[in-house]
Amino acid sequence: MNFYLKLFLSLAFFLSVHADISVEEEYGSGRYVIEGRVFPLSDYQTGNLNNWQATTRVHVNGGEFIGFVKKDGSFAIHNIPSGSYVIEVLHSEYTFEPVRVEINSKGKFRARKVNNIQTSLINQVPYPLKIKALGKTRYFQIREQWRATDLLFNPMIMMMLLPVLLIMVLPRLMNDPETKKDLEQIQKMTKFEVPQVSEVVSNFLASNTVQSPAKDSNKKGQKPRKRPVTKE
Amino acid sequence: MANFRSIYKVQVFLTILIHLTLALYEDQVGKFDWKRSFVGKVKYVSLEARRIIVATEENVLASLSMNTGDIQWRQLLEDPNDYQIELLQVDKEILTVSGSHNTWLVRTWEINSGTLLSEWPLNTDQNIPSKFTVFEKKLYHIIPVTASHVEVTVYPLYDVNANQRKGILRKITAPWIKDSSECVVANSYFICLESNQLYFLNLLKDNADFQSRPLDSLLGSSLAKTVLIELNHDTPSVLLVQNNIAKLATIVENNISVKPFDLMPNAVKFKENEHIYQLEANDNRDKLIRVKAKDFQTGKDVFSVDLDYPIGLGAPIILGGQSIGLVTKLFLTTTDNALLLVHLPEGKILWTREEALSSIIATEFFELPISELDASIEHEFDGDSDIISMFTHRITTQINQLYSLLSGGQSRKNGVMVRDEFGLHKIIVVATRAGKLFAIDTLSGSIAWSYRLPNIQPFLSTDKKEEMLLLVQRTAKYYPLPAQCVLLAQDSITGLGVVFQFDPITGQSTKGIQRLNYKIVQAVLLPYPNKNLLKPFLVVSDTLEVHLFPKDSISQLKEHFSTTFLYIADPKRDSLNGYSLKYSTEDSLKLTPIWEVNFQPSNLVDVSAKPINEIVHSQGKVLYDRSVYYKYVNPNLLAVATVTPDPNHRSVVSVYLIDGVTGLILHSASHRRAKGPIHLVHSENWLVYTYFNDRFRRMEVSAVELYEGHLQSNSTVFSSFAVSQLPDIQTQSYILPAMPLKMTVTLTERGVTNKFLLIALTNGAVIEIPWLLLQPRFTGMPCGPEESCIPYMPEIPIHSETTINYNQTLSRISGIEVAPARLESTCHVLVHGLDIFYTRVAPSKTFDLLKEDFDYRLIVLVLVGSIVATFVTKRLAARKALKRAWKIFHKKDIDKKIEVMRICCIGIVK
Amino acid sequence: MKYIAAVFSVLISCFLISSNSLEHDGSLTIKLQHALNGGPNPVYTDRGHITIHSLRLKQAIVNQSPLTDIEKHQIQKLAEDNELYKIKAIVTANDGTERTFISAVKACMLAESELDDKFAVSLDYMGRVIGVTSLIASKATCEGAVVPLDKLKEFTTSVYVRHSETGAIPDTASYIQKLEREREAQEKGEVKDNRSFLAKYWMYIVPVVIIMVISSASNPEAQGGGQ
Repeated sequence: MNFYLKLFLSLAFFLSVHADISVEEEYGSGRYVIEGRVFPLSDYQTGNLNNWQATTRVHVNGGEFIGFVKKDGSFAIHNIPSGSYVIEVLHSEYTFEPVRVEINSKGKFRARKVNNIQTSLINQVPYPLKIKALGKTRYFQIREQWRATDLLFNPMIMMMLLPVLLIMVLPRLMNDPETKKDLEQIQKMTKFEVPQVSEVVSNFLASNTVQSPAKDSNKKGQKPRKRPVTKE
Repeated sequence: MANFRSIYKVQVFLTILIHLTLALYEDQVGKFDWKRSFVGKVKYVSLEARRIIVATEENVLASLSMNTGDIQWRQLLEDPNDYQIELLQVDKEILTVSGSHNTWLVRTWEINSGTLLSEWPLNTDQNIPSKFTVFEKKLYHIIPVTASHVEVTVYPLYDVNANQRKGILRKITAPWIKDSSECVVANSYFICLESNQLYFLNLLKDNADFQSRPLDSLLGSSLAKTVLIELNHDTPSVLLVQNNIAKLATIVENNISVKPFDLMPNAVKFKENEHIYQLEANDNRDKLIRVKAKDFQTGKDVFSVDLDYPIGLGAPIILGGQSIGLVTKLFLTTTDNALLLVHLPEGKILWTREEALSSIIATEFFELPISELDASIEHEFDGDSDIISMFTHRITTQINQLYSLLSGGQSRKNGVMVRDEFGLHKIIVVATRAGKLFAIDTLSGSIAWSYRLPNIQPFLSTDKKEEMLLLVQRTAKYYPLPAQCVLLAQDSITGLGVVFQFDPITGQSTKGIQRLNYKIVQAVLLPYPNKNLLKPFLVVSDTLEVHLFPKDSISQLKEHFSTTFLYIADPKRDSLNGYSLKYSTEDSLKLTPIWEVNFQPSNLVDVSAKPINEIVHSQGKVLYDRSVYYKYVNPNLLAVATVTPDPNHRSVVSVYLIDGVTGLILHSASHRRAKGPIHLVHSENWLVYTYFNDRFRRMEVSAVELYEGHLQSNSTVFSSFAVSQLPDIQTQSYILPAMPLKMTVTLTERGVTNKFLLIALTNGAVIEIPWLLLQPRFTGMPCGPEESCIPYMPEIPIHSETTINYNQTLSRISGIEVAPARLESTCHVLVHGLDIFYTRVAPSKTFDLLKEDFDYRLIVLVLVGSIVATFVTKRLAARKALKRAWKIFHKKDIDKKIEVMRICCIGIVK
Repeated sequence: MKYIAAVFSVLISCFLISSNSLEHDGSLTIKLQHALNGGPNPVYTDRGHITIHSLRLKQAIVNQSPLTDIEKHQIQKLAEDNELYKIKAIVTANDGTERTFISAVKACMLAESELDDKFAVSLDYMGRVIGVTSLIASKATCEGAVVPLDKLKEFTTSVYVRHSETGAIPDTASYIQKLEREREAQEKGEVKDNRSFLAKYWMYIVPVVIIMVISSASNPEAQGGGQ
């Protein structure tokens, strides 16, 4: 028991020493400084925003304390009593992830990710804070632009255009006397050998339509059936 | 049954329309929204080469363009209610000292961009208002400790390692000093006025003590109160003001002396030359203000210039100036917080900024009147004209209407604003803390008119919120009667009520400012218009007397005495009291107390009634089994929030729903270990409120919804007295991963459109959240798209696309106001604070309007193209048929001819 | 670690839900007075007492004496004139603090319900009374009514003690569980696109078929033309 107590004491002592090193306490008033640095996206993306420091702000608990960013991207927020704070970096063009900073009554700092759902979950991040931009903030929907290729590759349009092509181009080919001859020759050769699909289908349909009334009349007495009657 | 089906249709219809991405398109930026930025009432100013650096009472540091007055950059420091800028010094860089009591922050800024260069805290043990000055690159912090001494701490400003910055403290005994002592810093001297003695101390000398001179020896004996004003000058000098006449006192080699000439108390002086500038009232009606320059040594007039001072602005004072050669620029501010830059010697006003708009207290949207042309149709039945002249009158007006329609819009003809078809063009009337009314055009954001009411201030209502009331007595619908609006405020000196009636479209007032002889506690607009279609309003005084405006509308009110109820929230006693007008007579209106709710020891924080012009379209919610669950829509329902300090739970937030007629508490819920800020949004049959959960250290939002059940008790008339059953109450809570500043809900003409919550966040964004996302889910019932229900998520997702102000960050938002447009889908939104932002939102998208990216050209092109193509192909086909026929005819092939004829015939038939 | 956190938050939520009652039980006595004179200046006379021994159990004992003839006539008159029947409730808590509340109902509704009235005693989270409201259960209001005297005998009073509910808290526990389950399901195997070939590629097949049909249908005519 005694041993444990000693160990505990020495541990606490170590902690407090450590805290003294890491903490810059101001005038002994129990007020601390939260320090960190903001990293915007790499230079080529921030090229048009050479003055991003002036338009970036750091809010502690939604503006209870405010920090401004210096030229080198660092910030320090003064006069903060011990407690738990959410640090947000605000810029109108970039999104930054908020960080929770906890300062205990001894002045020890701990920084972790903000998790509103599992508040007890600790996902520690280094302190002094290094806050990187997650990316450019997207405020706008992208409007669907009208492009000729979109229209052309639309299945509906393709369905329309292909028959038109066939109708327009095929007769032209027919009109050419030489191809006509060729075609005629081919047709003569193939005329009786392979019956055309369409012919088969149309013959079949034709026979069906001719036959069906007869069939219907035959079956009328036995099985009244609903069927769309095709009109000639 | 019919009822049910219509509800169902609407629900399905709207479900189709909801896609939770309701973002703007980039090309819509600035199409119907606008933003105006302000800096607030200016406290300190410094004129530089091409810019003006200002520090304001809003705790804002900003740089204004010298030529246009536009804001070049603006930095917002801490909350102005807690901290204030106390020193502004511009040299190569800007130095500010801001804070309060014993915590101060010294910051330096770059002039061109407003980037922070350095920041260090300056903390003291003394919790006393103190003074700062900069002299020879050293910061002097002067704290007068009552009846004891003055502490002067000197800090080196530059070339010091921030961590090793140490002040040198010096205490100078001053047993005479009091809290009420007037002290100023003039150059290197600290000067105090106490019981007719003038004390002064040289700050530069390390061992100097206070020296004193009796005031009588300087000014001659007088009983009048003397005021000390500092004068910006190289030689330490102050103005001693008695009876509005100022004398110049200068300190030369530890000896104070008074110059023999008189000055105005508003006299100022700049470093560059030896002139003292002062403003005087002028008799000339066109040029009301005269600038006079006097010589510093002799007091002789050097020159005087009459200014082209704009009418409508308050009395000006000179805050700063700059002289380069003969040209002098004066920076003025007025009692109504406007800023002006005056160019001398011409006396021209270069620009004006209306900074009163940075503190809007009340707003109201007004529809514009119909155009004269449209109105002339109404004249048809005027007089006893015969039928032919009536007919010709109608025809001519309609032809004129057609003409104006074809000649392109009529919304701004002859400079007179008229109503547009969809009610998108409105006028916003705003009342500001400075007591100035403005009318703002929604289309352009320009000021249509402004009116300054002298000595007016807002009331302090529940939770120390500042309030003025704008009541709409008559809208612009009733041509030829003009619209009428009323402003209720209080006198800034006596605190008594002030009533100001005006036409919101033109800003003209027939009666002018009426000052009442009692304090206003509550005012309410009555829904019983009199014969002039003017809605009367009741004003309750602090002695619970009731006054009716206008008095002659008593005959309308008389019939409603027994059904008129009022409630008054008393933040001092933390109670809510209900009154009836039942026992009033025509001669004397009388309030009879009928109920009371007492929240003590809790603190009454907020009371919220439903928007009066809200229409509840759908009476119920369709459940998954196609049955209807009727909403409990009680127009008299009040939502009340209280905060209780508690030893066990730190603080407890309670929210109550109270019937405003009977005082019955329908629902109450308490959140332990929770604290404010609390925002209530009360609409239709639901309430949404936010609070901070101290246990989990996160913002939470709760939704409460009230239902009558499967049977509707009385579908035609609602009476608070008839309580057949208490409503079924559903609640659900969510995490809000942001800090709300203000919250409201969209409002549309008929209430068909989905409701969206608009929440202003501390990061300067105003986001919209669909009510469907918050609507409490029924336990044990399926939730999916068919039920128009979004499955429960404990954390409300906030996407940047839902920001209605996109990248236009808005600062210190103090309110969001909404008003319906005549288009059902659309709602006007005005966000005010240090910036004003106006936009329109369409929660269910603009379903009643063609999309604005609708391609009219394409559809016209396609139509024309297909018509042309029809005719062309017809012709071509005919020609081709003819050609072929001839060809066949020449071949004389009879069979073929017949065949072709057949084809032609078929072609023709086809 | 996550699991423990989840269990912990479940426990917390259970605790909060179960604590949906007062922290400290208490008792109350309410002295009821009513004004039967009508008009703007009410004169209150004693009506009875309500004693609530346990706020937690919400049980109330109502102690009221039958109405005298004069009182009956007065109530009848109030009902006839469409007046308000006003109640004053003087609440004494068990720590001795006294609070007075007023409330009013339409006299005709009271008479029509044959003096069957209800009291809602609303408490805040600590059990302090914040309001006492008199109610009549009815589906409609009235504008004055003549009620025979024999129906106005005695008050049948019921008392409802209404506690402040514990505010709902965000249900994070079940959400975390749901996420966990979804993740497990995802780990088990990705969902396959098990639609048929036709369902997937119909948009390519249909045009081809149509084109074939059209072209072949137009061919016989062309052939006819050629012959």
